[in-house]
Amino acid sequence: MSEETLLTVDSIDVFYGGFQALREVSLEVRTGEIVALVGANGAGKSTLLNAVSGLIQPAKGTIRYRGEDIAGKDPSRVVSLGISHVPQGRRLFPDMSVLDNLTLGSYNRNARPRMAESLRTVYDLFPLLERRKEQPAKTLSGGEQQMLALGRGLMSNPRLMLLDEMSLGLAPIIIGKVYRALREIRRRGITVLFVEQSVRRSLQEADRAYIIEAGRVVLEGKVGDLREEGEIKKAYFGI
Amino acid sequence: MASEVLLDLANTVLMGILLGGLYALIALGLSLVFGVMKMINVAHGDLVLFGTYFAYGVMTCLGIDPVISLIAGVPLMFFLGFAIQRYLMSRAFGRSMEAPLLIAFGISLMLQNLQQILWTPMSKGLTTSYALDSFEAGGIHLPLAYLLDFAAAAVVMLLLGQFLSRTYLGKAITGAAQDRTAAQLMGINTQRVYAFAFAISMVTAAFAGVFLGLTFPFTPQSGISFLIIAFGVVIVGGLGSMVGTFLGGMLLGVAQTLGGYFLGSTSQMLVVYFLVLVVLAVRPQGLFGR
Repeated sequence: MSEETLLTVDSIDVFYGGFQALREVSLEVRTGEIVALVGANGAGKSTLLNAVSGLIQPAKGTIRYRGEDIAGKDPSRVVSLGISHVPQGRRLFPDMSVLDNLTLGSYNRNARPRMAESLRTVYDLFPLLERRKEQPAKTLSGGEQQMLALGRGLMSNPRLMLLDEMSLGLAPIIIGKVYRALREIRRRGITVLFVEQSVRRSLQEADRAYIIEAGRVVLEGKVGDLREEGEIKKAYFGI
Repeated sequence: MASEVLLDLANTVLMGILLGGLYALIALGLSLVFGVMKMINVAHGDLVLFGTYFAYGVMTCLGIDPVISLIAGVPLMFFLGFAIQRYLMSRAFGRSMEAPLLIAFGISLMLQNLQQILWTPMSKGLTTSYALDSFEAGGIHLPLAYLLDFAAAAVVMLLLGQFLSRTYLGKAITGAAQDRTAAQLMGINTQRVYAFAFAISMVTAAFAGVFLGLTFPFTPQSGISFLIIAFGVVIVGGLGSMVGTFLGGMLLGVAQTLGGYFLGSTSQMLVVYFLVLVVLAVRPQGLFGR
């Protein structure tokens, strides 16, 4: 694994009106890693991803991606730099076909010239999407929609993918498939920061994890170390 | 006797359908801007009228046919629309709901006064050699202007539909309309896409303006009645739905001509607004809205 730092979030604060969603949160993702962001509902996991992709602007702190400060940049700029955010709830374009959803994924200026190539990659990864390419996205099952969301995220030609609660609302057997896709994505050299509510699943899939609680990072480390920490059990399982 | 009445009635309904095409064309831009940006553009009527006056100016000063003048009118309206959204509306967007509304209202007032200064408050018309011609077949009389209105509306709607569903930019506009956040995450610059949507809405307004002028007389104050008609169409048809806009326009047109037929021309608009009221009460999302 390369030790080069791809993304550095340095003590950011994020507010929604008067409510502080993140307090001095810092985090680091190195090239080639899979990093999990774990926490309960409302802990601030999605907020952190939103801040990285530019959907919200932190009140304080910096977000550096490959050395460049991207905090507060327009999301359409951020994605063209190589950060692809697959948001919670998938957010597909429901009335558009699978193919249109995918091609719009390559809208950013750097991805557009490689659209055909990216489409081939996505179809190789999810052959099902090729078979369903003419169908409206809303007619897919939940698991298929998650595959489409991942595929659409890959179409932007990313170096770093931010994946938010991919398993939400899916049956366990489908969740297994989604995470198999995650491992496949990593094999293609893409770095992943993913959000997950399930501690067990996170520790199983990630190299490192950050446990976040009420807007603060309370624990971080390699998953092997975290597994042994009694603290995580106390903090999280309540055992 | 009975067959004569029937023929008369058929003629009236047909007129209504043709007129409805024009109404749909007027409403198309309003519906598009709402569908994409969730903004009610209260300047739409006056922007349509701006298209009418532009054609009028070209016709009176240069002697060029209003339909031909669209060659210049369409790009003019396109750039005007792009600029209004990009440099005025976009600044107001994230601030409050009222800010874009106020800007649109201001544009409306400025245009009304501009037309008044340039062309006096008197009623004008795009009087061409063919505007008063009529078409006759099997006892049915139809004004040529109405036929042109309908044909123009059908062509513009078809082209817009194809543009939105087939081109990459059209898909980006549709995507931004369906889910703004997701569109941003795809790298779609929503401000730019909104500017294109507004510009395209102005292109439809340019067409609507010319064909309106061929059909009806207008004054600098006519914009508000166009806006009301456009509102009626989208209320009946459902905001943001293109098929709904087309059918909504036709329902309004037929309501107007039948109202005129049975109650006299002074009450024809009463029937139209009554229809709008009933739809609002029974099906507020519009007949074809979701």
